[in-house]
Amino acid sequence: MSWADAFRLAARSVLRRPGRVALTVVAVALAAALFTAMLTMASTAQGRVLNQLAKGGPLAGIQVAAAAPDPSQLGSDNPAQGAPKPIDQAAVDRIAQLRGVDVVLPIVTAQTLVVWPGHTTTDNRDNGPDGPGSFVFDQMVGVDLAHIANLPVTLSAGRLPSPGSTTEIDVTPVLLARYGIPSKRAARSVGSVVELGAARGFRGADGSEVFRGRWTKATIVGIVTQQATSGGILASLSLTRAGHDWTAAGDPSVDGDANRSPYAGLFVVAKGLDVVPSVRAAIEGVGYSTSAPENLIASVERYVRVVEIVLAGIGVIALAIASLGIANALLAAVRERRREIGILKAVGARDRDVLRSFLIEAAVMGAVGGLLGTVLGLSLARIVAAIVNGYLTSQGLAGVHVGTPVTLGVATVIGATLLALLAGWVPARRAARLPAREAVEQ
Amino acid sequence: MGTMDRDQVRSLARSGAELLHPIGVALHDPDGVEVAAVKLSHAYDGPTGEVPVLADLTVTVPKDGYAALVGPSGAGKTTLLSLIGGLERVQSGTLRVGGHDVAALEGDDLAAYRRTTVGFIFQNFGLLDALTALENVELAAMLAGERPSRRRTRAADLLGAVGMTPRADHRPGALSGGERQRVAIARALVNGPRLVLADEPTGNLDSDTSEEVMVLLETMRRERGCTLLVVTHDHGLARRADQLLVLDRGRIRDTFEPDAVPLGS
Repeated sequence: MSWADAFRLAARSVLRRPGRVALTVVAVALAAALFTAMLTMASTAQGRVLNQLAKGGPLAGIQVAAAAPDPSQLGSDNPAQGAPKPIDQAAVDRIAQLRGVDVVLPIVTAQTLVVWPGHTTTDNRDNGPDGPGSFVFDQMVGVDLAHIANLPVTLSAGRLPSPGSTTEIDVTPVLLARYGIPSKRAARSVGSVVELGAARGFRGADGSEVFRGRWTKATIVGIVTQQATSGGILASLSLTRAGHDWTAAGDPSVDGDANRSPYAGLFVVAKGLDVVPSVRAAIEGVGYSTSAPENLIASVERYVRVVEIVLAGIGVIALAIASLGIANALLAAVRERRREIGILKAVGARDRDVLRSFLIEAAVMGAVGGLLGTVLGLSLARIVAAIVNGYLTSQGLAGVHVGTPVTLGVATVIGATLLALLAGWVPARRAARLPAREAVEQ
Repeated sequence: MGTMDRDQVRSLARSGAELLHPIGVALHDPDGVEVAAVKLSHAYDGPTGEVPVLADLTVTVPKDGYAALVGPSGAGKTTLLSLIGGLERVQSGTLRVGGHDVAALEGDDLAAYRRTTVGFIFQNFGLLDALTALENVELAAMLAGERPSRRRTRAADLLGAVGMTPRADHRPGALSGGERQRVAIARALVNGPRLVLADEPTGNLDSDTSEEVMVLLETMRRERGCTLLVVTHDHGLARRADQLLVLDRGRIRDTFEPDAVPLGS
């Protein structure tokens, strides 16, 4: 009997028991879907969370402080800093030229008085313009908001300020807490207008210390958590620089603590997690202290790998269980079709003809189930990706992209077919060895 | 090639006229085989030990012969037929069918013997429910590895010869008992066997249909020249054979010539 004839015979047999075959195929399809979806999501997580973010994202970010490195702290994620050392544009350009550096994002900070009309704070006993508790000191952090995806900033409500805006800010839950606003009510602050003041110290005509404020009004457009540098206010570079420059132009003898470095720090994105250590070393060679969560990332990477292995294992177990379903269905078929097999042999079928017919049945169930499962699994992965995308884009981050993992799909179909063949082997052998006398037994 | 429909077969059978209508497509020159069993013994495993079925049975059916095997239930008729047909392995004794030492055949050789030398007709028709009448007939040729177009043509011709052309596309479940047995006869002939074994071919049929089926079988044997061995409980049917073999307790008790059958014995 040719393969084509065996296939035709197997197809007839499959079509004869549509209910049982459909259930078996569904079981295989569900297992294959589980397998495909899990592996797709795991590999997407691996690719997106680690590789994609690492190659130009916050995880591969190195914070550069306006301070010299402390030689005793090299290699740690958060080293103590050495003596202050201003970061100027020349230093920025030099660091940008280092091997392994993808992007250099300057960070500007400005010490800022925050006056929030209608709100009082209990953590400041100083008398402000409107009496005790009417203002707080905090740090405004200015970053290039056009490259926010590269920075460790997470938006939890509202939106980010427009790049270049001098009237919009985001605030952190820490700042809100100083006004007694809990995190769960943080979103209600969006839309509020606050007054922001930068102080410049100078000496009066009589030699006394005098401070003059530069006041602007800004609207809170979002709530963020950020780890670019410490500070409760996130704003555009231009708004922050205006405050910074106002303060820095003061008399150092009056306000010696004012940050006069053009940049408070840098956020350097390495081209990959693997080059983070070498980039850190190079930046420290330039003379600046750095910090990066590289040890933490290495741990996360290991955990993600473990999760990937576990998910793949669950998928394989599901496929194995489904293949037992195939074996069970075929064993039942052999039991039910003893007479039919006997007839086949009585009219001249060889053992291998019967074996071939049953193995084709198993393979067809495995292949069809695998194919349906792959399509279903990829669809599930896309649905999950759409949900994740919604979250990521709301955070101002780039969404994940689930491609069409052709290799995984083909491997799943082939794997399901091979497992089905393996599962079908015993029933098929049993069928092939049935004696021809079954044809005459009642 | 001419064909007979059901009414023609019934009419001819009732008239007693000699059927000269050609049936089937000959694959080779009509030529039967001799069946020779010597000291054939066979036993099955039972719950309390071996159950002997055949005991030193010796019998010969001549080439192109037509033998009817009769006997009480449990006498070993179906077992003997199964041994001759290669459905059962020979345990003891010798069994030669034409040039084949059946006891020595195994594996693919045994399958080839069943496929090409023997045509088997079962009491329960032995048709596959998933296949149409045409496909059931085609099945034996398919197992022989014949090309689809050729085997389909031959199967259609054979179905026409047994008057089943209008029902060729029906599955067995949609056919009457007589129609099923006609399909089974066509299937038994599709590979041009030299020995046709029929196990109670009319056991599930009414008397009219039994008559039709036997007319078909006899005509086939006459036209094709093959050896025909029929197991039956029907003495009327048995009388039509050239040789009547009475089997009892695993042995051939009597052998009768035509017209010498002591009916009712």
